[in-house]
Amino acid sequence: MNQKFISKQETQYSDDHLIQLTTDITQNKQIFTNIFENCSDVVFQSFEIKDHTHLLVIYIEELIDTKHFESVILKPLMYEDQPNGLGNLSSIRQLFQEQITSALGAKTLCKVTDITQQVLRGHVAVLAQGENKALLVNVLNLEKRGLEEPSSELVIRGPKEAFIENIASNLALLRKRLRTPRLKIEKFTIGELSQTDLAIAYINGIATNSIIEEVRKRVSSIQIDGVMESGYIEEFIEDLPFSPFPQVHNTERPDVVASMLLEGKVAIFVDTTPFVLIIPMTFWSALQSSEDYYERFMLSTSIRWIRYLFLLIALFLPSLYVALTTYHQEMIPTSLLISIAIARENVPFPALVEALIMEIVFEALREAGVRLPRAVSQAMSIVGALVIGQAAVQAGIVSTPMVIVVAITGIANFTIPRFNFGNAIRLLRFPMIILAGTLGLYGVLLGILTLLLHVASLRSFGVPYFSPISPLSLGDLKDVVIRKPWWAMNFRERIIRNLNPKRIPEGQKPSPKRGKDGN
Amino acid sequence: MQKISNYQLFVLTILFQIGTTIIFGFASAAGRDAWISMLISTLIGIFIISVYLVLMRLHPGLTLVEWYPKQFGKWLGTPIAWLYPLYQIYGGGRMLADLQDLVPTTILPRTPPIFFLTVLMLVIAYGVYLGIETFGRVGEFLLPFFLVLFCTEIILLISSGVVHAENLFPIAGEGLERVLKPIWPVGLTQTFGETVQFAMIWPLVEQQDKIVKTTLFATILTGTVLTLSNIFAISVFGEITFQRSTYPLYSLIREISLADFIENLDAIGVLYFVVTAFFKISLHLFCSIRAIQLLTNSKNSRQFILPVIISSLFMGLTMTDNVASHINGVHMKILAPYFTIPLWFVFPSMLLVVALIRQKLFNQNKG
Repeated sequence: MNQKFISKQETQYSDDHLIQLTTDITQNKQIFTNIFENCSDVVFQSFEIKDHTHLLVIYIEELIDTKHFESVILKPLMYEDQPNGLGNLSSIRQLFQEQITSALGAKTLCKVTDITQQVLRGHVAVLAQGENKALLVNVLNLEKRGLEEPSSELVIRGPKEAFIENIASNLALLRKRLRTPRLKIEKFTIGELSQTDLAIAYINGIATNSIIEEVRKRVSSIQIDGVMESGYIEEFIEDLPFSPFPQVHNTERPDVVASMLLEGKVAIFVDTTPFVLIIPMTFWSALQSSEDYYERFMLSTSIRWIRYLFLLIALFLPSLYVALTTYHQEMIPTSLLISIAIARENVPFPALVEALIMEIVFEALREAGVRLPRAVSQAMSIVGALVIGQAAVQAGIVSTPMVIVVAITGIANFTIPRFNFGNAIRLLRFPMIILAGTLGLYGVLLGILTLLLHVASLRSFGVPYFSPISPLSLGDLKDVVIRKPWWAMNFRERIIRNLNPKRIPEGQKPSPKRGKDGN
Repeated sequence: MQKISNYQLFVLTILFQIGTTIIFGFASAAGRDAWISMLISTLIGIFIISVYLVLMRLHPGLTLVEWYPKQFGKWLGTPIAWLYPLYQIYGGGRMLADLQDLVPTTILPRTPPIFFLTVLMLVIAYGVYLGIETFGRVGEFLLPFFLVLFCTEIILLISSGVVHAENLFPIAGEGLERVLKPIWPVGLTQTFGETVQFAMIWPLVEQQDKIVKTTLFATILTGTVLTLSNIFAISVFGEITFQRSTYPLYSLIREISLADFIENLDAIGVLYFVVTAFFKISLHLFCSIRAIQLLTNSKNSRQFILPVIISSLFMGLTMTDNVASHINGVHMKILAPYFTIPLWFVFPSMLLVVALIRQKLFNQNKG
């Protein structure tokens, strides 16, 4: 696959450049100064070593570790008592390898485009007079931030490190958790100009070949100028673009990636972003948090049910309120109906308009909150709570029950562990409110049916999105309806069709007797 | 072609058979013995459905509209086969007419039917576009809720203290004639005869050998649910009110009252009916579209979705002026005896006879 992209690059340059290096170093220099014209960050350094061989070193200053560069490349070359006959690259390479150990991975290349690529990736190219090849030494030193706590998926119990914007560190974080040669990492390069590194990770013998093959196919057929975030890749590889629901899981937690690989899923790492994609994704995996598996199973099970309940509330509460107060007042118990009616007495708007106003204002508050400079957030929360909450009610623009409904809905939305899934729910709330305001509960019902039809028809890489609930897969309910204790999770999810269904040997239920008779 | 699992077939069969029978109640002419009529209908219905299943076994992999041309020849078989998709469009329209009466009288008094029926048809069109597998999945998601709601309803009724079992007695006190009268033809055509159109879906089921068991089990469950609904409706209302009410099972839900807090749940009941109607209309139209596709030998069935949906909607909107003519009008006087009986009973029996004879001749020739 790499070949494909490089060959594209070749055609791009071949018009005005020779593909192969020449033996004349000045001509070679000319080639590269042409390529790197107006690239002020590229450094060309010519010098002569002891036996009068001309050398040319090309590198990008900001990408390399300058100290390292000096100590492992410049110093040996300038070394006072170098052996004679160092004039050719192979002996220079030998020298480097002796000096700097093989870890830096020096290699010789002849093609101009390859060399250009490597220089752009932080290698140092060394060219010598009379040689038609270049030696490339990896002294990459990318500025990167340290490992921090994940900002989008917080847990109380569980590992607190998150991925960063560097694919190599991210893969290392994964490898740290799965120390097996069966963890395979396949590299791709995507983006004609950005040349972004992308890696597919899976566990050999667990992930199904058909899914891996499908991922390879979809990923390698992407043609794009540049990739800035894994979201670009997600939109190219998902099954149904016209859907509010995310069909590719994303996470910045290495433990989530590792555990999902153990379930037979496939991860896609993209350089320059901490968000790793995992496929296939299901509706229910969006409602699972990694902490569910670290906490006691009884608690996790009940927390899951709270999430399911609040998913429904986040989606339907405003529309139910609108439908009941507009069309089906008789269903509200009398005393409650009276207090709602009193609260709504002064409100000039119908419930539908009131709900839309409040929901939109709430969304605006949320959106503003995300981008707010920290210094003004205090002021913002006062504006939000006092002005919109209390003053609007006192002024008779909205009713108190409506404020309560919107507030509960807002809280409910944050119980959904996957942020982008929560956004889908946020978005769907509005058509539901409009249906409720025009057709009452009948409209809400039709909305539910449409949603169910849509969700039931979705697939993520061949796995039905709504499974294991529908199509029903009884064995897989252990991780949806409840969270079985670890010693009872004997099988991997069947819906993902992994190669090795057996996961944890049976009979490990702890008991006082266990272990006494040598088990 | 999309396939559905046997469990999905089970679910769809139940939802289809319950359909609108649950809206209008059943056999109210039999008064307090309506539940016996229902029980007998179920037994005969099981027999009729067995005939359809035998026909399916005789034509493995073929759908309803392919049976007739195969046995009767192209010139006689194809016109008969065409009657089914056309009747299914009408059937969808009739279900819409059911809703046209039910929804305004219960939950949306001032909304014009054309509005709420068009929205419903849009949802159905989306579902038919997605295919039978999607319906199967939605059905299997919803059925547990249905059964739980049904059980809750019964528990709530009992705890509301409105169930008077003495209303059921004397059993068959007015003679057998009154019990048997509603069974033929309405009881059999409405709920069980229509199941013949599942012959359009049977070839799409994964495990062919289990279809018989699945379908019969679904039919028994439907019969049980409907019989229980009738028993409860009668024991709550007594014979007279039961006979007079248009939507007895709907009124039944109205009777629920718990601690003065949970009451007036009738809107929930209507939604319950809308969902079953949704499935029944969708299945009618899906089968119709698939039949048309097979009869016209076209590769793509999606081109038929819009015409079928629109004609069904048009029929539903223009069929009747009021609920009385809807229940007792043209449909019962003309279509039921002259259309449904041939389509559900006469043609399939003829088909069975012809198929059996031909098979016997074939076996003799072979031997």
